[in-house]
Amino acid sequence: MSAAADPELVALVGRLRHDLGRYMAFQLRAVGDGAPHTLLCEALRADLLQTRRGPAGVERAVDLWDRALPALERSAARQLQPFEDLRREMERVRSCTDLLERGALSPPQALAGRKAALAAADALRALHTRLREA
Amino acid sequence: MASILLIDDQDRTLALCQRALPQHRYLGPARHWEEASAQLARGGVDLVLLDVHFDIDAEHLLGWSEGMSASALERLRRRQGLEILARLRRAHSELPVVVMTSQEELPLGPGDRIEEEDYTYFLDDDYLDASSLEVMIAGALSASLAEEVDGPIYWGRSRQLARLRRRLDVWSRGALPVMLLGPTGTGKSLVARHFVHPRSGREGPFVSVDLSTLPRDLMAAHLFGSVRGAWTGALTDRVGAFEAARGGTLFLDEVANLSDDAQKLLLSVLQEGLITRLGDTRERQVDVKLVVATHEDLAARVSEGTFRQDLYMRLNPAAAVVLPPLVERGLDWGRLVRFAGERALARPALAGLIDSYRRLAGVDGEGASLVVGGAPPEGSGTLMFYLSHRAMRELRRHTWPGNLRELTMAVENALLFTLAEHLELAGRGPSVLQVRPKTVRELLRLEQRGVGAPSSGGRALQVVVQAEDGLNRVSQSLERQVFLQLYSEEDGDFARMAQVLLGDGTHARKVQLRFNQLGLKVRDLKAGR
Repeated sequence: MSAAADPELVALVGRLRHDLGRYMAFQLRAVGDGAPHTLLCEALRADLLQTRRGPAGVERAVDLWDRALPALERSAARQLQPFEDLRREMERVRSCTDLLERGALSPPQALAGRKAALAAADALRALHTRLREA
Repeated sequence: MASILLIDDQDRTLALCQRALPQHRYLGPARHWEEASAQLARGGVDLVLLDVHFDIDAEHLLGWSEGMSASALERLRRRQGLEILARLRRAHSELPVVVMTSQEELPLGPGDRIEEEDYTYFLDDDYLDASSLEVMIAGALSASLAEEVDGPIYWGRSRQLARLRRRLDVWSRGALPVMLLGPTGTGKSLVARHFVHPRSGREGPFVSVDLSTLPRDLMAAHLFGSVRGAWTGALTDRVGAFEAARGGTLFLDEVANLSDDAQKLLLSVLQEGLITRLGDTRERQVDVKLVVATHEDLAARVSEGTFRQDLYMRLNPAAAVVLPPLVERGLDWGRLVRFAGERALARPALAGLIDSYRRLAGVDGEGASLVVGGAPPEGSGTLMFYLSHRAMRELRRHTWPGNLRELTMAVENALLFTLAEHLELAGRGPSVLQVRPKTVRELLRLEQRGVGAPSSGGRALQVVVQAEDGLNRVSQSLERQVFLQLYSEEDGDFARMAQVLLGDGTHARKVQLRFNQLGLKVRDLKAGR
């Protein structure tokens, strides 16, 4: 099945682009690479641990990803390069999240976490664009 | 510093803005439309930053109803910003709104389409970035400030007039003559007096000469002066308009009427900067900023041989400014009427009658204001005139051969007649005086006797064609006029417009497409009615 034939998949990735892609990199885009470690950790906590805030409560980036992943793996999206990039970067985000929650994030790991979150957001945008244009 | 209202269910955009753009004042965030609406009603908002996805309780969502399915509710939450945007555009059509997402990410359904309209902006990228947000806010604020008023001149907010104003601003400061073109009543004289003269940097007087009212054989003497005995009846030396305007601005209206003699003398002034009074031998230095105007096609007059080419070239035709006819200012229509009304209300004659009415009717306050379109205003104790949607429609139907001058008089007359009608009724009267559509209709019918409407019952259009105008511009100008008239006559019903234009009402979409191509916008017309 081609990706273009599945508007539900486009809608699913569109929602993920907003809920995950936009807010996973919200403060991280603003702080920059040269930001002090404390400021970077604060941005990582806001973006990765409180990615979605709504009446249902707060969700982490990895929770949103884990919920969407099975449907994505069953779909035509799995054949696309941006999906592979996204999956790889989200695993890096997961590592960063674990360290962040344990309070064991070193400055190089924080920088790597920021880089992964931005790359994942970009991959998600690319995936959505590919699906829409397919 | 601007006051920016955030309409957003989250706090994080506010935090980002406060950190990245601290030069502005932020209101909100309003979590839903009701909160936003209350904030807007308090006034003082320069710009709105609007989110699209609102994760809020269902009862606060615009468009929510009992029994809505979970999936419909989710869709509504994801596009709530668009519902709010529609309300904003209806209630605050001129307020700039920056929608905090890219057009690409908008949650539109199949067949949905949203255009970037005036005063609505989308981000280039759905990921909020402080620097791009700053550029977007600055752009939106400067565009909203593009509405320009210079004393009694209303330039409006069209790009065409903004460009024209900027050019004229530059030429006003230079030494070369300024040429103003355009149909009668478009405000050439106002522009010369209240725009060019103050910017010319000259401290001398503004002197205006209407060459259409001067006998041709007296024209040269009137402009350049004369000495005693220059002709029979010249009993004393006389200063001409050029000398009277020394160090200031001389405005020659209807310059196409210049006599041959006066054309020759004017050319000499422009070449040498010297005048000689009629009958005199002494040359006098003059230093004036010259502004000329005409509703005629001067280039055509040159071709016909009735206007000197060398003089025409000296009048700086390359920098001519063409003021558009009223029918081409459709997007500013409502504001032009309001502007004309406010000026009329400030005139002593009307102000005196207003005072009489207020005393008679027991209405407090000072002066009066004018409300154009929208819902009838509530009485607030001060005197208000109200031009309803229907009264505005009557005004729109008119062809306005006399342009702004005619509109100003028509609005003043409408206010005057409305006041007079109420003054005839003794006793306590209302504080909101509605200008009846019938009053407007009858006034325009009186005005139109003998002018404007073609005897065949067809449609009267105006176009000013300049030397370098392409046929495309000319035909588009005419098309725009036809569309604007039809839009008004058919109450904005594109099917009926298609019936009139194409003889087939099913081509509404085709007509609307052309309407859009011509740069006409339904929302602006609705706002301006």
